[in-house]
Amino acid sequence: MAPASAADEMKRSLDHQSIRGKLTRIILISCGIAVVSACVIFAAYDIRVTRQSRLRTVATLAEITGTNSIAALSFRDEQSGREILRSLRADKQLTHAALYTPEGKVLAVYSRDPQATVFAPPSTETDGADFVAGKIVAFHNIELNGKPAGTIYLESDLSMIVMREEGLAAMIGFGLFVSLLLAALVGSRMQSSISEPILELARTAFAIAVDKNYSVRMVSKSEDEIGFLYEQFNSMLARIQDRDRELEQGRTELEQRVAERTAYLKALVETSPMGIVTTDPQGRVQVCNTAFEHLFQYVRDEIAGTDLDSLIAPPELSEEAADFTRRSDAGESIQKVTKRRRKDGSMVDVELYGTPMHVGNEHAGGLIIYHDISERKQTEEALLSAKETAEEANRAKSEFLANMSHEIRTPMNGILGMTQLTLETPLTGEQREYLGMVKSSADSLLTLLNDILDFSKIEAGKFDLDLSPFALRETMGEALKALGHLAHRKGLELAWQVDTAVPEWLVGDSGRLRQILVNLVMNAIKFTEHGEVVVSVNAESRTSDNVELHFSVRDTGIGILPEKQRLIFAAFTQADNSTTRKYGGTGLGLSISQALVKMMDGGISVESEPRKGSIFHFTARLSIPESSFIPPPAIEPDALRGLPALVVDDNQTNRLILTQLLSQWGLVPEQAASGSEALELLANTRRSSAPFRLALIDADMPEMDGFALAERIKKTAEASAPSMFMLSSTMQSGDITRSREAGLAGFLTKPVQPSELLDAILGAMSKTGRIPSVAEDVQSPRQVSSTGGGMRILLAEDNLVNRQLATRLLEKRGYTVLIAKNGVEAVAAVEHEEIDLVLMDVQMPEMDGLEAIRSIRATEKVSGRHLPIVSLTAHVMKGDREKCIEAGADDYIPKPIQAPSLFAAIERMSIPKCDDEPSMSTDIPSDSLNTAELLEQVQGDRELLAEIVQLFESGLPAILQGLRESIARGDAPEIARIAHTLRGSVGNFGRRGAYRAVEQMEKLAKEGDIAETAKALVAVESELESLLAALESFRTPAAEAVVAEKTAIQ
Amino acid sequence: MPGRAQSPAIYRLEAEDMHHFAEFVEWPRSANAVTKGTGDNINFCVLGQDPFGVLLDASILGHPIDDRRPVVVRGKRLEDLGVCDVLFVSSSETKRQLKILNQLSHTRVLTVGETGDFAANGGIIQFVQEGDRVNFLINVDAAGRAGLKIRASLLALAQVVHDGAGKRGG
Repeated sequence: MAPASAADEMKRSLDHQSIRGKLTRIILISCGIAVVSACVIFAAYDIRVTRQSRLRTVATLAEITGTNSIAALSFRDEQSGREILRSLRADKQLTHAALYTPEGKVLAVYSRDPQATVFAPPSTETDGADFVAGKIVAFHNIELNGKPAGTIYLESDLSMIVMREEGLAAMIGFGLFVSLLLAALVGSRMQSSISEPILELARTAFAIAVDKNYSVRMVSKSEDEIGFLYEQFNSMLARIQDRDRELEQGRTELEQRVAERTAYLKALVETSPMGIVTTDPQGRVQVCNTAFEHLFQYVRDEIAGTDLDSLIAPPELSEEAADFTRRSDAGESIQKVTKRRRKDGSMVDVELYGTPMHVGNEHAGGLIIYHDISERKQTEEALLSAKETAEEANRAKSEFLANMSHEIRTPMNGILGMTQLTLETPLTGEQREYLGMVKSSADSLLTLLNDILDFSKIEAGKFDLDLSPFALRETMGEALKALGHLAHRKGLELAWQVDTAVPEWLVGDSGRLRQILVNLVMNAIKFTEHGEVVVSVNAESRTSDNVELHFSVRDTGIGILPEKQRLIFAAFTQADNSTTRKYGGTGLGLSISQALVKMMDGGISVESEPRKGSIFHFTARLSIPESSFIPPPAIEPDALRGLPALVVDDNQTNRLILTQLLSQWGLVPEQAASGSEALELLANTRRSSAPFRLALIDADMPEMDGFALAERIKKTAEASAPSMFMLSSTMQSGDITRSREAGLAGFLTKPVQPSELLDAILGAMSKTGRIPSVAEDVQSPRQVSSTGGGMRILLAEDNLVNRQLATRLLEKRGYTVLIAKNGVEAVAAVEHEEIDLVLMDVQMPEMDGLEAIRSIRATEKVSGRHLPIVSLTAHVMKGDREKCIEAGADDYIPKPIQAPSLFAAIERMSIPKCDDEPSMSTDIPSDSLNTAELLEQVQGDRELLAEIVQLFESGLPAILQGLRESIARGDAPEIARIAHTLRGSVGNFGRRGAYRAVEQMEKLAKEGDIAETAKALVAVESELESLLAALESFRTPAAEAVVAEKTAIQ
Repeated sequence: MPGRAQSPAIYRLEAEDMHHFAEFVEWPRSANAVTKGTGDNINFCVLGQDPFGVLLDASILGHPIDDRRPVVVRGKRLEDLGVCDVLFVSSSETKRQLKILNQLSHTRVLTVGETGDFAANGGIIQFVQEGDRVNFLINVDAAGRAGLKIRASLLALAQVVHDGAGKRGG
């Protein structure tokens, strides 16, 4: 520790000294260490040698003296012993000596200084000489002839040795002194050769540091490391000089470039057309450009350092300006259109961009750019006012349109209703024709009007869907029924098909769904000259509570060019403007459909190939009613008979039309011209036995409008309130909701289509349970047939769609269906299979239906049995029916195949089997014609009915003639055949009096009872006469029928 | 000094001295070589009445001198003793002392006696009793006649006498 710290101390002290001192010290210390260590080693060696020598001397003395003492010892001669010892006086260092006998007894003693101390010789020890306690002690055993003769003891001090050591120390000290002196002398001379150049270097460096004069150079005197140091120092100076020069040059260039760049930036800011200003972090103006000066009319010198906000932010916008500053300071960039104040106090519209400015990482304030937008602002204002004007005009137009449509509807209502009524009065053919044209024109106008209204409502977003449960197949059947006739008139086949996966009951706006379908099918029919139109419905995806239906309408028409396909859904366009004239239409149908489909969460699209046809697809998401939902049982219009009803409308025409309609359906209507009158009537009848069950209320009435009235009725009558329908010529957004909230049974738009009204009334009545449903007390045909399953029906039909449709319908009803794809197959099937009934399509390849029927009937002449055959034909043309009957068919039904007519036909054919069933006869009025039933059979197509009636009437004389002749001839089979044919014909008009009479006659003829047959003929003739009288009203379409009904009811 | 009545302690010392004398005396080699019977032995003879008894045997026997084995021989007459290297002449022979010494003159026998005139009569070593100490006289002339070399260290301890006979004889 100590030496280390000493060395450290030394080093530290060296560090603080001049190089000269350092060198001197190093030399002296090194020299001193060398000399001292050499002397010490030498002295140590010398002392050691001296001591060893002395030791040996003492030992030798002991031995010599001992030997000399042998005799004295042998003969114990103390005297001579002492004398011998005394001889040791020659050695001055020997202090004591002693002789011992072999027994250890002291024989003689010697002391150098007899006076000094009494010497007590120590006891004898073994041989040897050694240093003990600062002296040398030696024992020597003396032997004589191998026998111990005694022992000698010598004791010597070290005085000589000590003297010698002292002498050595003095010599070393002297030597050290001398050598250091010499070293210092020589060293001080020699060290200057090292320290001097270094000192010079230091002095030069100091001088350069002070003077900054890098041109100084050192002159090297030696070629050692110091010489090298000088060279390097010089080259370093040279480099520094070069660097200085370069820096100088670089700085000059840089300054120049900075100046250029600054000028450029300045120009950039200056020439900017936008007003630019920068502020310091305190918001004071620092720099601005000319555009800023011009914009705010300030000169930059006068505003530098003033607060920007207080300078140009108007007092009313100071809050906003402060907010901008705050946000900008927070690091946000701001863009804002606002106003700022000029020097003269005027305001200017500016678009302001503010952003915090950072120089390096320092927030240096803000950069604000002002763009004078006063011109743009003016333009914008002009545009805005123009837009407002335009919107105002548009609004006015919309209102006008809404008002107008209402205004148009009211007279339309009148025209349509009154035309309808007029047509039901006796008219000349010419008048009827003209009125028919009036009606059809009015219908077209109404359709157009409805389209435009729907469209404007959709445009205005005022369109609501009326969601309620409906039966999809039934709805489609009804919608396509009327279109079917349209198609047939063009010679087209219209078929439709609903996949079995599609639920029967759905919740949605059935009216709008029907509208879309009708629109697409109408278009298809319109643009198709030959072929067919097929509607199919599939369930695309289905969840527990809703189903996405995919509808497609395929035609074989003219098709649409690819480039037009996208356009057709746009409003007011048609695929080809040139077609407009040819095909007519508003061009709104598809865009309305598209909007409706969109509202049903679906999409509409088209694929088409020109001249091949088009397929329109659309999807709609409809809810599935909860499982607890029980569909209302169907109600026959008959069930409405005798129900008291109330018509409330301020418009007399409307009242008249509605009253007539209700009367037609067997209701007993009363009229009220206002709300108060209606309330009065209701109050009067409430306590009577026949309270009103139904009320049709006009929505738009003076004093008390329809909704108010409905609420009053609801309030006063409570549970006994009639089912109320609101009729309005304009449906406003929310009307449906409002109706529902008011507890109304329905909301209908005027002019009301009779079928629409009837459906609505029937629906409401069955829901409320006010009238007994058919299912409860009348055996419905559906129930009869579904229990009467197992009947084997041969379906001969080449068209796959129709075949599938019919098969599905039949199988659903419990019939067993056999298939024949053409006449040949059909004839073969009849021969080999047990078949109860044949449905025969007329137009089939290989062997057509008529030929097949003939072939079947020919074999039957042999077998004697009669297989009921119903022919199916799309050609409901004059003569078709005759051809079928002539060929031997018992009945025929028109295509597209409609479930009700199909089943009716089958049931008609199967009735002979259960002829005697009393239940059937009980509900058949014997003497009257059931108009409703008749219309049902022809699906309400009065035209068709008229045709049938005419056919029947014209064919009747020949038949009767044939019967009479056959009876006269007594040809019973012929009578039976003719009677059978007649029965089929009469059956079309219901199985009432005439039918039963003919049936009876046929039966008698088959029994061969000619006489009874003749009597029966009389009954037949009289029944036919009354039937013809009843059918008189149907001979011409519509009007006469209404009249006939009227008389019947009254 | 006739009629000496000496203590055993003194005889003990004298017995030991007898042995030491042999150690400090050098017999001539040649003489010894011809001495028959002695060879490697060194014979210590006691003539006359033996004053030492067993003390002499104890001091001499077992302590060889220059590889010569010490032997003790006792006899009443000189003839009985045979060859002697060291001969102690007892005081009992005082009367015949001179004759014996003359007889032994020029023989290589170290004669030792205790009578007062032994050395004067030509004996080589004569014990002299001084108190409890024993000193001795050495007649160097007699030793010279006998051809014996007596070592200086012994001589330094003894009182050296001359009988002058040497002049006479020599």
